[in-house]
Amino acid sequence: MYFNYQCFNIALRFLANVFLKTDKLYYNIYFAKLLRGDSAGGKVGARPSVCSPSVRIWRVLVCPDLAHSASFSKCTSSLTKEKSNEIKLLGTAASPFVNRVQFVLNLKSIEYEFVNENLACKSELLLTSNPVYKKVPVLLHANNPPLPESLIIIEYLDEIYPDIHPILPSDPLALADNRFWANYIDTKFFPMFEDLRRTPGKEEKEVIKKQMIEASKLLEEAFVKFSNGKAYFSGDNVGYLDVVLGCYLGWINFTEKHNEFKIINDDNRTPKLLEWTNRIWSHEAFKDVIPGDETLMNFYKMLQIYKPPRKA
Amino acid sequence: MAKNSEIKLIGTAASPFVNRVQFVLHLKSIEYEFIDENLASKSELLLKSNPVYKKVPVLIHANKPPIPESLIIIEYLDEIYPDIHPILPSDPSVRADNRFWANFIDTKFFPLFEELRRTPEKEGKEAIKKQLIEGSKLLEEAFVKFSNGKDYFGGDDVGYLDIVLGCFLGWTKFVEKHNEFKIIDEVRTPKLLEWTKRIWSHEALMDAIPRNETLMDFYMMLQINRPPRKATSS
Repeated sequence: MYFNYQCFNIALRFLANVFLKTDKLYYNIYFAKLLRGDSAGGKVGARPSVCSPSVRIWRVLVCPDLAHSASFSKCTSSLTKEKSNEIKLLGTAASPFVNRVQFVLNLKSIEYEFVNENLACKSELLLTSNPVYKKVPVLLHANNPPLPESLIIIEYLDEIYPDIHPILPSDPLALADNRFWANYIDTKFFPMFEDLRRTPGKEEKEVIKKQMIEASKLLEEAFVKFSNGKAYFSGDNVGYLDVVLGCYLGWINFTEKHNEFKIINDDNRTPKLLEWTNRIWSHEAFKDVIPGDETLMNFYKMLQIYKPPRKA
Repeated sequence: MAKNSEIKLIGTAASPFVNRVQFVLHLKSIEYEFIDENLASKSELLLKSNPVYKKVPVLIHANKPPIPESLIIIEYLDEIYPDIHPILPSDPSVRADNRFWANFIDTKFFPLFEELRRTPEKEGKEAIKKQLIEGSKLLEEAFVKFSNGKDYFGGDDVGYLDIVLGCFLGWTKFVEKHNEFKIIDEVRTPKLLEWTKRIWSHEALMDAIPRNETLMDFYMMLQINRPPRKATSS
């Protein structure tokens, strides 16, 4: 009985992709809302505690939170174009952390298989590969244990492919400095974006915007120091911090546009960073990696449902 | 003992992050000058050396730019003194796995201690204690995997995770005593418990982990400078 439900569900998702022409993520949101009976005033993000049996069965079909959801990933991922290799990357297009790893794999000309993950409905493969955090990206390399955490993956790739476009510098002091700023970007700078999204009041949002602007000044200084007059943080070629910060550019542009302020695309406050962003956007290894506005908007809508803004 | 008076470590005895660096410097037999910092009244040297975070530890090596962040300092020391008691393993996959667990300890496990201190209500505290207990189970599994029957996370001798986790043992005992529960215990985490005894008696760590009195002084300072949150009204 359950096997039939699974087949039905897989077929339904395939049809949605083909006929509705929606990203399967958006399809999930659309139908999830439908199931909850949400209208404009409806409460989203929480599963209804009471619903009719037919709705419950329908919910199971559309987005089963069950162990067998790996079948969805395998099925839907076969619809996308991937190269088979001993390296697999579990991820989602909208995640800058995943984009980082893609950027490094491209720079090092490493073929890999991209296993697309639906974060609203995580696969068994992801849950078993990263049982501690259950997050993307996760790198699967041959028979080695799965490797989560983008910065750890980057250092690993740089250690196993040291001769092809080295990402980190070899000098221990420069290495320490690069790691410091990557840590700053991930633990101080980028969390402000989510904070901004989830903070309800206008005044509180303004406070966070100010913090982001202060942070952008620090990043401008860091860029000037590291680049030393050259095109990238690492000098003549793209390196660690270009990858670490560069992969946020999609979300930076998105946030700037939707909150009507400039973070690093400001020619007065961060002129060097602004020039750098133009180089990153047009870099060959980067071009197909950063997601477009539509993908980010779909992901943003999913976040608004599953991790809604705090109440004022 | 390798003489090296070029290394200065800005820190405070009660900080487990500072203790980590001390542990590594002792293991590698590196002499250094310890600059004691009063965190309630930070020195100009600290504020200039770590303008972004203004925190300890900071390593100053000769005339080079200062290096903050304990895990970054450890990797730096391991890179400039690779032949004396290597800290990180050489295999890239095992290195990555070590880094993953260090990240877990610093971003998920240890912040719970501060969260426990600052949470006012009993129910809130109980919820955090449960998370600490869950965290300890994960660490027990990690220890069994990494040690593979040997004494330490690093195998026969102390390695990266022994240092990263070992330096929290002073605070772990303090928190257990003052909250009347066990984080590391003989039923739930037997292997970790045996390991803690080895770490406490390890020569290179013995002088680094602060005594209860030092921790109590630091705890009192935290209670004043970063008091527990107010309880929400029922």
